[in-house]
Amino acid sequence: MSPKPVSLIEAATMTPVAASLKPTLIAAEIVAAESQWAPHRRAAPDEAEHSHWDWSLKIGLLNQPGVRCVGIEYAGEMQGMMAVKETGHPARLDPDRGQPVVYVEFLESAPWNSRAVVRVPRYLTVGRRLLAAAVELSMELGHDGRVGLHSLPQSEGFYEYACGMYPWGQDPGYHGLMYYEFTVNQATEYLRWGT
Amino acid sequence: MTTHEDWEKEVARARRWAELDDDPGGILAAGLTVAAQKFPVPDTDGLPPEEAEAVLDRWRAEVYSFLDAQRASASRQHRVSTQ
Repeated sequence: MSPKPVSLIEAATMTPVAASLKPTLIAAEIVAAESQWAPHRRAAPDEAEHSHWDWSLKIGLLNQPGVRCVGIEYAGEMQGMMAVKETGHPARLDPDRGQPVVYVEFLESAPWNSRAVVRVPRYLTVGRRLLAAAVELSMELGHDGRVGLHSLPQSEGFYEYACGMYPWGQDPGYHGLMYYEFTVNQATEYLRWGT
Repeated sequence: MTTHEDWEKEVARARRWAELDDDPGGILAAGLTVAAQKFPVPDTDGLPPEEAEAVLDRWRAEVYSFLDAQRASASRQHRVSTQ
């Protein structure tokens, strides 16, 4: 698959910019992005939180079957990255319980787009656009838009109230973190948003 | 291939999302494999029960410490955003 133009919004001017959705990042691209992100992470007021995350762990994911890393690039910089598993995760919600979902292994925007790091982000909608990319990929794979993920506690409101994902509940198999899912209808509605 | 109409829809959706301004950014999701790599369940095979439980207790403490830090961060962000 080739890169696809996607729109982000420049926060300072609230104007759209044409970014590029790269559907399959290679390890070198992830490493390059990390080298751009790392100094900004270190400048974060809460460095300890961010230091828990190491992209080298995630690069290891790429060796697993059915895993791909997706990125949004603009102005020569990676604005956000997401890793998804294309198979091996069945839907937990009716009416498609047991049917495959695209499972979001991780989703992160660049530090300069995060309010946890900067007061005013450079670009808005990175997280939402990556989630839309997961839905689009699910459709391309014949999973009809179904997407599942475990949310970090700080993002529960984003997925449930902002994105409209359905909360399956706390997952006792995964440290009690909340599991969310897009059903086919919710996924379709999410992509239609604002259009 | 993206048509002009597709692009117009793409921009309209981005504008609408940006107006809502509800994307917190940062790390939003972390899945099973990442967590399993970051916090692998320790191997307690062959350990006496008390020792195995102590190993698991330390592992749980590490995991819950991480989650507590995430929740504290979320709380701080909420306070900042509502001030």
